[in-house]
Amino acid sequence: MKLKHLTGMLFLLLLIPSLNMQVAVAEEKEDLIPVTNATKLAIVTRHDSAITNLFIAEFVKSEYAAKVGITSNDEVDILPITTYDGFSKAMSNPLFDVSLGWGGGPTLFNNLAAEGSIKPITNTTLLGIINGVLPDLIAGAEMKSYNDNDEMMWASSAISSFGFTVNHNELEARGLPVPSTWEDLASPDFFTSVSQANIGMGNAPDTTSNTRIYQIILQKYGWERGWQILYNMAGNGKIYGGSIETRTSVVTGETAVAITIDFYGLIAMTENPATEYIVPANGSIVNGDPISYSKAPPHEDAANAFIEFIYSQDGQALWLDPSINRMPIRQDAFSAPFALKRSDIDVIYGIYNETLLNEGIEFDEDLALSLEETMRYHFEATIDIPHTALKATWGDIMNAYKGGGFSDDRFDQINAVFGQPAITQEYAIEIEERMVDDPAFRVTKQGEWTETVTANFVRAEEMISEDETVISVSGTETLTSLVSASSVAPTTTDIPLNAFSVFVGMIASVMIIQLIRRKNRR
Amino acid sequence: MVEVTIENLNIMYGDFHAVKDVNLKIKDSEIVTLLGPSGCGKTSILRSLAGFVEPSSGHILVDDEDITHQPPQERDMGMIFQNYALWPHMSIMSNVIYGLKIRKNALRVMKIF
Amino acid sequence: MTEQKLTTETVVTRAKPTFLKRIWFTFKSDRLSWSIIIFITAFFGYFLIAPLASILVTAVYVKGEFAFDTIGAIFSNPLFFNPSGGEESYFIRLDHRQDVDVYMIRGANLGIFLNTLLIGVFTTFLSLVIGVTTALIMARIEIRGKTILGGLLLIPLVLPPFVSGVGFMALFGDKGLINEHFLAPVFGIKIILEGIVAIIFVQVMHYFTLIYLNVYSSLMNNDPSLEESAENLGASKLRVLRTVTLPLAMPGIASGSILVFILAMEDLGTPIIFAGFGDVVAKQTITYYIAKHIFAGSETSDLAQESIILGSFLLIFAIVGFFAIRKFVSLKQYSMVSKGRAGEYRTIKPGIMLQIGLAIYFFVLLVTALVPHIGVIIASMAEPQVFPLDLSFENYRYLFDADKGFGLFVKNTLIYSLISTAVIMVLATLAGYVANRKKFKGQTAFDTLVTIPIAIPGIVLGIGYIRMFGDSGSLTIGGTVFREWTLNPIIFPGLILVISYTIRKFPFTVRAVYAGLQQTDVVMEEAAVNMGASRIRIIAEVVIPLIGLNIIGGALVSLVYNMSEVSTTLVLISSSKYGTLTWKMSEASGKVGELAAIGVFLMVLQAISLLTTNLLLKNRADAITGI
Repeated sequence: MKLKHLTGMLFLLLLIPSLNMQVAVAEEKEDLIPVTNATKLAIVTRHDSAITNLFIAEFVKSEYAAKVGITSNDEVDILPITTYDGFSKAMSNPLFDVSLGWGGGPTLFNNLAAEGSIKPITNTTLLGIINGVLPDLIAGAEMKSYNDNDEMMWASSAISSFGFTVNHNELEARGLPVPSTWEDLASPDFFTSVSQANIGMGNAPDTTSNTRIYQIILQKYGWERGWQILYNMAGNGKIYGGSIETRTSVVTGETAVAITIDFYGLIAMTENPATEYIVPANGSIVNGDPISYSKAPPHEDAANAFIEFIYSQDGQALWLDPSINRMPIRQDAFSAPFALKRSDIDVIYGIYNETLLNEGIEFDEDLALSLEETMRYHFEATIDIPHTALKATWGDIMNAYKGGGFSDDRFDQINAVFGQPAITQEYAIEIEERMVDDPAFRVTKQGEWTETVTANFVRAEEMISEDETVISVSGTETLTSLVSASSVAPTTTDIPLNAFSVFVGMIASVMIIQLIRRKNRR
Repeated sequence: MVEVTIENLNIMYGDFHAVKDVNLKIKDSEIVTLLGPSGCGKTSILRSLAGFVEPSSGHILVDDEDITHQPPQERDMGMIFQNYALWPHMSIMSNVIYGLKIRKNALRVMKIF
Repeated sequence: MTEQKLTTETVVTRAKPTFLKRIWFTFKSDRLSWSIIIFITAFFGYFLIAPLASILVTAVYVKGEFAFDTIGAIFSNPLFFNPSGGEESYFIRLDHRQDVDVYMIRGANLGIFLNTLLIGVFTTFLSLVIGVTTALIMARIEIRGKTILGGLLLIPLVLPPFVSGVGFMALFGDKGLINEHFLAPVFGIKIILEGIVAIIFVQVMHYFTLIYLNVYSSLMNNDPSLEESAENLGASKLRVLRTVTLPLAMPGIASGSILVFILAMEDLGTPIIFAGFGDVVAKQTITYYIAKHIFAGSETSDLAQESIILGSFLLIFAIVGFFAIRKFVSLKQYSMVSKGRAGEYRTIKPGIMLQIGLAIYFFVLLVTALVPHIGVIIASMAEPQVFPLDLSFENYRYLFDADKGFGLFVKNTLIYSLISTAVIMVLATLAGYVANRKKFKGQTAFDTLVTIPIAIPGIVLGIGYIRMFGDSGSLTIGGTVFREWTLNPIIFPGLILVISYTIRKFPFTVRAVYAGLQQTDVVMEEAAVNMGASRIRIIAEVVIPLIGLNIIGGALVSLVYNMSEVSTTLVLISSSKYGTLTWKMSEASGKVGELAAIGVFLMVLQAISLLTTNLLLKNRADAITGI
């Protein structure tokens, strides 16, 4: 009977996953013969489909693809993977059949190199082509990376800068100056009120580009001053989620400035002509967009052809597509036919030149790597989570300061307390590994840091109304409710209602009603 | 002494004429049985007496009072339902004293039992 | 009279059959049903119980030893648990800006655990009030255009994730229509909803429909004579409501509210919206925190222990809630027993005052509930700044532009949803039939198994799958690797995603099947048995034709929810090649207007499915809630 067979088939379906478990075990022990299908090149990438669709389509049409016998889009496989977990597995596990890793930033590729998931580029012809168009440094940033044997691990085919995007209409409406450095964003001039956010910042764990920017600030100004700037900026602004929400905030006018990587800034400019991307003078770095082999590329010739393609003039011009908005490394890309199709190509070229001329800061990639995780968790614990208290305190400080409540020196003293990070740089490096490996430690530390900075905020509040000669360093005071009995009237008032007691009250009343009802029934 | 008079009762459900020109006089202490096949209108007449169905025309009189449009709560009619209509969420006692509670006689009755 | 000779006969005693033999006989007596039971149990066991169990175990047992220190650390960290609130936890705060007074309504911030709990409680309470009121009105009062109204009341269910925030902001935000163009110029104030208040607001507008459907169905399916009997005894309308109507509707009310409670707590889409706009408190909810802290570090493959622990608590809350529902649903039986006079309820004809009141009520309700939808539509047709209003269909070109790759997301969404719905239709019908009709030991357990997925937080299941299958490989026969035949979401998420959809939306079709079976008298099947039909024949020729509409209705509901699924989709898909529409909307690497256009597209698809379901299921539309 038909149903019998159906049931049988369904049983079989159940067997497949159990087969998988066995396969997983088996595959660890032996080398698998790679997939025998039509793929002639597989690339794992963090780039989105706008980029990959365009590049693959053009690659397949080019002479480079023809040279290795690739003539159709189906022969090139794109694995767009966003998690580190997945990317790493795709690069190192032969099952994935991947030959190239493309896009995702230097940090990602440095980590991959460190764990041995990248095969160095040793092909002399290819090296010649790459080195012919790609300098070692652009704006002071490394465009290539070498291992201890001086072998090239990855090279960049596009560049990004980091800065901020301003909304001129909003700046005007709020009476804010046009910023040109990070310190401008941190200044009291950039504060208007507690319920208003003038700067949109991304939350560190959610966005790699914003994290990069914070690392830039920390290295340019040093750990202590850097964190102070970040706290001040947060006081003037608001912490969003990922890069897209941050960018959207300035496009819609919710904020007047948003921290963005360059291509998001350029996209914003197309969404709202009143916005403009600004590279802070002496306050940025250039990031390369890396490409590298996987651990054991099965289609090395095809991989080489693709690499040659993206370093060619026409290949480079593709970065300038209006949906992509990235900077190529070759200057002559701007004069390629593809690029000239774009009406605002001059504007982009202008930003490109600014980027190159911008003397990037001295950025220590190793240092950044050595405290990346701690930095993220510290940002979250001391800025994101207590943001309301941070902004309230900053608001009180600002209103007092602008109202002439105290001198500039006093402001510096207060700001020293307000903007003090919970840990030192050395400590951050020391606990870096433990922050990832030990969850109990991580959770405890984050809680401690939040408490520390919150106590700092309380202390800073007190200092507003204190005698100027009294200086104190934040300590172990626990958080008390903020009622400043000062000469400066607080600009915010709270209408209190303890929600917890409401909650308890509700549960209690429901239970009482139930009990009464039960009594009535009997 | 109670007399119930049904005059020219007509009940329509949409286009369906369920009860047509029924006249009936029930005298005091009289027991009347309505017999008939399924769907002949017995239940409709009873329900109109209790107040659950609005007649399309005609009158229902108790003694001389026209109660045709009086809401069921206010009528002095006790109806026993075909399927007993016992409230499953209440105890037996609650079922029994439901009407008494409304008339605030419940306690007195309970004391008797 | 013939003499009867008494003979002694040897009584042959058969040896009692062995245990195995008994099992075989039981199986053989009803092979189909038992096969179904065994298969479904195995399927759910492997893809539901096992991943969840592994999460619960990992919460306390890591790397070979019991580890409670993380749990301790969590509860000593005020981020997670802060009953006294502290400075961030204000109810309303007033800020004097230069030209406006801004009232920020936050509610409270008591740490991640309590925030989620508060959201659950208050959303449920408010949804209850609105849902029950609406159900009473719809079931007992005569209203013109009730069918249209009934359809409109379903629309809140088709809210697309993520972009609904755009609509909310466009209307209620700081620069939104109400604040910027009404309250500020006219009264000089602005009112901003934040934190749990904002989340509760959006959730109530979305979930009250679930309670409404449950209670409405309950009211429409109760025996009218119970209310009439009370009226006959002199009870006023209000007394009837209080002593008969509401108590009898209690199972529907209770099950609806517990469902809302669970869904409100495991909702990921709403917190993400507000967190994305920078709302500090919205980030401090269990689901958001887990979603953002799945891995212990940005460049590592270890799962974050605190997320596992949070997920376990969420899971336990949900399961406890679910069993609380079961208790009430079994009580539902009594309201079905006395089916006396089959008839319509007498509805109240509203006087003019009541008519006006009802009009206002529904107007306010629908406008507020449909605000996010309107907002999405506007956002899809206007520039992000929204005002001045400059509408165009520019963004819709994205949907049809082959280069943009939108077609791929549609294709993926449809493939995953349709395949899993097809699987659900077959399996859920069989499972529902067996669970409802066949009396066997473990019937309740089986019934629980197939309906509990509704209470399982998607994000927890997703993490469970990553744990179980994150290292497995693809099917290899001989030397050929069939890359797509794998449960490893990193290699190819399609198969495991379809499985997760199937499991998570199973209960909706099962409930629809139950509803149909309840209306179908067992007598029909008994008659078929009497004439010698096999179980298979009965199912195919008697049962399915009778409950066919219910199956289709239930399948449509499953389909609708599949298309808008967020939690497991986000967790399991890490590659845009396999992304769905909701995945694309969360990735958000494009213009807001384009995302809104996608949202509208999804809304339309879902609205069509839901309205069709409503037509098919009519009074039993509570199957849409799955409880």
